[in-house]
Amino acid sequence: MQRNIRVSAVATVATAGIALSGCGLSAAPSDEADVSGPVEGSITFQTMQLSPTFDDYINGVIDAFEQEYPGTEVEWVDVPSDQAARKVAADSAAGSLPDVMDLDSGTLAPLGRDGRVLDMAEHRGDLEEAYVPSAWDSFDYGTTEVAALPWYLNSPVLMMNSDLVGQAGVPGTPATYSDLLDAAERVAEATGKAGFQPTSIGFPNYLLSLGVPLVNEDSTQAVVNTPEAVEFLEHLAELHELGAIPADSVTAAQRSEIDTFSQGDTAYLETGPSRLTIIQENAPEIFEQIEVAEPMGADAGTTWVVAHGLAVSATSENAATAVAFAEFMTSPENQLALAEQSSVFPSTTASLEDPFFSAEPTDLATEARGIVAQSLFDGGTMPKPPAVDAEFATALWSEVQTAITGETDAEEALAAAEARLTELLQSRAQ
Amino acid sequence: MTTATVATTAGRRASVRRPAVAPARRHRWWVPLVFIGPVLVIQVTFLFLPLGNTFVLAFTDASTIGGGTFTGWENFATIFTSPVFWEAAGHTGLYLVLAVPAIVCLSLFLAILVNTSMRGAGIVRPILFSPLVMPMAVVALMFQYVLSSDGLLNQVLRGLSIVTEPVGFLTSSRLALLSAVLVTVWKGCGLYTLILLAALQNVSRELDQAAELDGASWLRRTWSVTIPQIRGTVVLVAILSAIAALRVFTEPFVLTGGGPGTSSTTMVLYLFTQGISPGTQAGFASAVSLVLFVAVLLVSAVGWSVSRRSNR
Repeated sequence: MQRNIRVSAVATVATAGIALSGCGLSAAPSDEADVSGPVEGSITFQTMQLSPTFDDYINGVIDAFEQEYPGTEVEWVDVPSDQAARKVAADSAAGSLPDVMDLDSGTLAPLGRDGRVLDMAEHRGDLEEAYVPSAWDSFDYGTTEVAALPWYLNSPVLMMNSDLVGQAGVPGTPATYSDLLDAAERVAEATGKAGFQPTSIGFPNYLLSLGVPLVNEDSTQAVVNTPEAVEFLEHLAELHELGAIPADSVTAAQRSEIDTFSQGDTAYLETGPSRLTIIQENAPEIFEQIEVAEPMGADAGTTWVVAHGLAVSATSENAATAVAFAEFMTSPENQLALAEQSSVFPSTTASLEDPFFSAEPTDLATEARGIVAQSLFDGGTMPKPPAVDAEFATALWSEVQTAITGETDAEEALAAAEARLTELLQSRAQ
Repeated sequence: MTTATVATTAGRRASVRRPAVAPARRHRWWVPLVFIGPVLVIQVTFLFLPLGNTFVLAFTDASTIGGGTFTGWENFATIFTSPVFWEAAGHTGLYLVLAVPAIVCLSLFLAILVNTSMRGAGIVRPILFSPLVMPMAVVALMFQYVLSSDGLLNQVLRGLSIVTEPVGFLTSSRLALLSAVLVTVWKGCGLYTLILLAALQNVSRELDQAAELDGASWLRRTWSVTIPQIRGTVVLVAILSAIAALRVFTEPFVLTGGGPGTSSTTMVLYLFTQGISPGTQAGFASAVSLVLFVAVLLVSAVGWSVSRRSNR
């Protein structure tokens, strides 16, 4: 009898173990959630690091939604930005994604490619005209045409250290990345300081603005080894040799370009206006030197944009409520209210037309805000191809690092990058 | 006679104690479970189930967001034909070859030094052990400042006119891995010195004094008398540092991100890039982790065998 109990216990544990060992093998949902039902019931809403700063705003919008749609209940959860990607992956594998998720287009990419979120083009395609085109297109992952309703945006301005730029006598403001490299060379020759710091995240933007497509039409082949890319990379290597880009740029940590600019070691920094506050706090003497201008590619419509969107899980039990909430949260009025108390930009054109963005600048922050809003409104921004996410950017950067330091030939490095990235794209296509 | 006594004794005991012992025996099988239960639950939940999950995933093409079908040995075939994997394995091997002897020799030297009654040993000890209490990420960040192009080391080298241009400790393909090894050695020495010091303090002084009376020098006594007595601990330090070297991640990740190129990518860093971010290949990364697991097992087995032999 005792032996039987023990055998049963062991068998139960083993069976549970084997069953649980299969965690992570959940298939993509085959039956998509029904969005035609009534707007009622409970949903969960997950944001990326908006609490506690925006507690009042978010809770206010939730209250307004619940009043407009009686019988609904929204449970808000906030996760730190650096943990959002892993939480989403774990939730997806466990089949327990929140109903509505605030995610940037890069983090959302795997879910969008795998059909784990609702296609907004299918369910709310009528809203397309309301949004900035580059924001709407940022969530196009092929299989899911629009994986989220665009929410808040970030796009850069060009910050210049007027002291270094003045010493170098750089004529005019760089309008393209090629201009920026030329300006960097002049700065290095005249001041001994670097012109700007290239980054792993920025590198795909540099190539895109030069007309390098990065991927083919159906995102199955990488296209990075073009004459324009080779020329640009060779120029970067020359700048590295000259000291016109920081010597440690190739292996520097992400966002260290803000530190080097704040320390007065670089003359130009292309980044979101929100960084102005950080520089003002950490380096007031450098902040005094800053002038802001239009970002690279604003005239050509190739400036980068980072879009956050509200995606609805394909397995949501109250999909109609979730879609209605996403639409409510991203409405022009609610987006404008968020922009007015933060440094992000709305994704709806109606919000961007508000005088808040076009008012006469009173300081650097308001000047930068006007530049970015104008660029977004005028179609100065361009979404990255959906396949070009953080993994793609990291792999590309890894392959070109040795070409920048002059250890390998630029064309060989780009050929190796193209092969590695094609392998990556094909593994995703399987 | 003896047998009869035993039998008799046993019989007497049985006849006297049977009523008291029998109920206890009936329930005895679950008593240990009560004690080991909490630990068992934790081990099963956080060690064995994930291990089992990794084993299953290694034979699938699962992504980190889910999905996947069984693909047999395909992941392993891909691993062993991947040039990046072999490069990462080579870097890990090099890490092992460079870091382990350096850690063992330096820790042994420092332990012997601290164990002597030299002047200032009391100050040296806490300094030696300070890396032990510092998190590896902090240490790596600190060394990033030391080893950067305008960092402390380059400033010293240029100040002494040893070099005219900054040395790319973190940006040269030839030096990036060595820089990471340097950090590992610096961080690891504190712990291993402590272990060796504990062993040295148990060494018999009589043998040393006898050798000294025989006219043996300090170096001779250390090499022929002291070290042989702590050989088992030295082997233990070598095994522990070898396992740590196989699993190295934070140093290259923080210092160079595995670059430039893949020149400082180790096996765990390769595993990280393959299967941690959402949408990456959890199945493939699980297969890489199983290969790493086997490598650690092999190194442990070899070390264990050497340890047993040295203790005989």
